[in-house]
Amino acid sequence: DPASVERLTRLLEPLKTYSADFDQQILDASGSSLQDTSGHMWLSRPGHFRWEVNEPYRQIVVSNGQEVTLYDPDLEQATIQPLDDRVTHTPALLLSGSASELAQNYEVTGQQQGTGETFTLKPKANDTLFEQLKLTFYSEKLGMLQMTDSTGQRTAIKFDHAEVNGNIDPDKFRFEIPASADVIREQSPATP
Amino acid sequence: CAGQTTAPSAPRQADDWQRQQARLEALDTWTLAGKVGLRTPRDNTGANLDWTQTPQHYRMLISGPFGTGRSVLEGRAGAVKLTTGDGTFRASSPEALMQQQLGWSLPISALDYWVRGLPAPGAAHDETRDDLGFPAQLRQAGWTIAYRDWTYAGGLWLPRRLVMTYDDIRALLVVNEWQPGQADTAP
Repeated sequence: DPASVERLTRLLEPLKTYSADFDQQILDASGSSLQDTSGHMWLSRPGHFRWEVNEPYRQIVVSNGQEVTLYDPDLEQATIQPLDDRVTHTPALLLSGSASELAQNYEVTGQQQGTGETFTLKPKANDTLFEQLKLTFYSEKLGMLQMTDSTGQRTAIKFDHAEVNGNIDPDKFRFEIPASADVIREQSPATP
Repeated sequence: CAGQTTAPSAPRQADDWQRQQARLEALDTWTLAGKVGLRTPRDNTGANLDWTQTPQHYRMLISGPFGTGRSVLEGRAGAVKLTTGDGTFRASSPEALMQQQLGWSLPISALDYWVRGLPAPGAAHDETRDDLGFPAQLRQAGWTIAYRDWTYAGGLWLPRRLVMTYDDIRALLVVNEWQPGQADTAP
């Protein structure tokens, strides 16, 4: 509904940069945890983000606004893909993309629970990776992002120690691929 | 977040492998988190692997970052199921199912032995040992498995890095976190 879109836009619009610890869980339809990883995320609008997994392994995803590089130190493999600018495909982009795209691409409904506000977004197009995306704000600060796919599996990302609109070194959004790594260029857009 | 494996008090010792072999062969329940990489002449892919094993059931989540593009392979008494973004598929063997749906596969049926450094039963094999008596290379069913690194968890030395080759296929399995004896989500 328009009020929720307007409210969510007002919460996202001022968010120029965002940096937070994350804890990501993948849960199956019955809610049991399939995977649990944690690390740190940096975002800078538009389209710049860095997703660094630290536990239980290392992995880095960096977007410079045009290209997304995924580097895996264990596999010594770097995959480079064009950034998929369709916000329905790149949740991280949603946060670092322009809020006005939100209304065009999603049906948005909002709920208030105390200081928490949860927005449920259903993509209008049906060729997306997830059927539903939930953004939860606590005292107007982004606290959780959840993506549910057609099989009922859910990726739940909790953010902590978030810093909003702090300045972030631009180098965070550049990644030097180690010489020893296999570099794989894929034409299909990345959907991180 | 994910639990920590205990750091080994000392590096591997010469007779560690003999001393733990019986326990390793008896190990039938675990959870592990790691990576799987596959290189063939046409393809070069990588994914995260989360594997839960119990005597009656195994489940492997193969996923990209943010859990995108994930597939869940589940096996129970001869029935295998693979759930991907396109739906759920069944077959009699995990290898056939993966090849059909993902376009690549791993020797899943033998992997639960190889991942412990053991040959799978029922097929001839030969093996070379490193200077500490640990498996260095195992050859079975056309595959060559090289054990490149070990990690200590739950009182056992377990493979941390396996390079598995078959003709022009090179599969790399890295286990970043072993939790032997644990499978909290066994349905």
